[in-house]
Amino acid sequence: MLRYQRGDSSAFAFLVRRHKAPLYNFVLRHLRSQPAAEDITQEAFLRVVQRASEFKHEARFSTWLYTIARNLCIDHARKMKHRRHPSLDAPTDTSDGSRPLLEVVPSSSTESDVERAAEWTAMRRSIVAAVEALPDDQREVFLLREVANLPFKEIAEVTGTPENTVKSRMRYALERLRMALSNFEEYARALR
Amino acid sequence: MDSEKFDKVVLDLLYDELDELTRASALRHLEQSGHAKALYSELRATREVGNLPLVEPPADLEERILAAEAAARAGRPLRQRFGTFVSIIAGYAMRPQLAMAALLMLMVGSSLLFLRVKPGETSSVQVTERGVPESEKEAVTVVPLNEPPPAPSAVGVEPPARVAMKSRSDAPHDDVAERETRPASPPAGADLDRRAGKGAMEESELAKRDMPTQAFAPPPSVADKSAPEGATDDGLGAGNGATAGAAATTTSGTGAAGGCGHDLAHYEDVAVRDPSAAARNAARFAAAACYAALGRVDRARISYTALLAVPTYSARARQALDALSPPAATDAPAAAAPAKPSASPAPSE
Repeated sequence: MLRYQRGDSSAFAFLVRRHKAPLYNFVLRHLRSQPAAEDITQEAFLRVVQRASEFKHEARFSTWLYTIARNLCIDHARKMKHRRHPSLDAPTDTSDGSRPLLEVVPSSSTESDVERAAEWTAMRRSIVAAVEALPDDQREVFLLREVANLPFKEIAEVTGTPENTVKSRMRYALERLRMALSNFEEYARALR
Repeated sequence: MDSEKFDKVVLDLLYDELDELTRASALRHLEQSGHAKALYSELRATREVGNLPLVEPPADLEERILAAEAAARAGRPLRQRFGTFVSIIAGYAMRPQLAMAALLMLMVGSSLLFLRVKPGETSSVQVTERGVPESEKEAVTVVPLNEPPPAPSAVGVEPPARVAMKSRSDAPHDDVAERETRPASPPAGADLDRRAGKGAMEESELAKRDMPTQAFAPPPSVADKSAPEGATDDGLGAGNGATAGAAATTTSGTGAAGGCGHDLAHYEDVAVRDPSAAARNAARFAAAACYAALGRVDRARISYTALLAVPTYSARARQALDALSPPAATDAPAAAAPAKPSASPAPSE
């Protein structure tokens, strides 16, 4: 970011290449809409360009970037509040090019066993459903920790909440996820 | 670590955000407590199994972002572009390498500024000769440089100072030359010294005329003094380096006893070591004149006596001995007085 502030435009391309995938996934899980995720991701990087001179290097670039993306997601959610959220099992809506989230998630192709593959698919459905079912604050913390890979301290800065609160929300999210996975044999094997 | 504290740090342990000390303590508690072990295992299994797979963003997303960035950069107002330019320049200016280079250039520039004083320019440095009373310093009168050359008959008293003055007329430190050639008021017994100095002057003139061309190298002080003017003002002919050296010898012998004393060692050295007999005799004669000018009459007499055996110098040596004899016989103690004050009386007198 320092190089970009000094006029090196190639540094911005490096930042995009490094952060686009986790940011896109965070927005995608947050908004549950692929076109919206693309727009918000692009808009977040555009805000970085427009406010590059305001970045003072007091925090990490990832903290700043996810704060911008989170605020954009909140604004977008407010605008779309009256609309119904896309269902995971709903048929593909081709009008806006979006697909159900489970179709977007790549399935495991390495499993040869049909039963095991079916269990994997079911388990993934349960995981996504459990994440979808999480309260917004818990899902937000869970995505920032698991998808964006931010440490708890930075998550606290992004969400503007104390670090202990962040950890508490994460703990609840993991408990809910554990309950959703408790019936699967894969989970039992990992538990052993 | 107890269970309550372990519950607080279990997430940090799970995501590896603990410091080494706390992590070791938590792991020790994990081995000892079954409840902690079960809790940690459940969270770890949930995290391993329940991680969400990353969705690859569209391939053209990066291109769209970069295109939007280029468009935003091109559409920025002039003020914002100028701010960016200033930010870039400031970023480079804050680098320590640039600061060090600027400091080096400043040092080199200031050094060149001080070294720009040319050798020919007048210096403001004032030199004061020590040992001269303040009252006598007020009696200094500088002989004008454009004054016509004196008559040959007056060579005995004033020319040495004038020669010295003119020989240094082009030098950068005129005030120094003036002080060096400045006559002081004669002390008691100056009449005797003046006579001795006059005789020494005549002898020096004789030595100057008889000194063969390039007989031997002039002493360093003479060479330094005679080099710039080329003996154009000594009234004895131009372009003769040895003659100019003799004129300067006269100056140093009469006007400044210290200079003659300085050159004396050179004359003595030439008189002893030079392979040429003519050069040895000329140096001996010049040394004798210097001895006479310095008041060392005995040594002057010895040198002149030695030259009596040389046919070309015998007549002049005899004449010099005759000039030395009367005052030496009557006022021997006074001859030991410094010759400098008697060399050139003050023009104001």
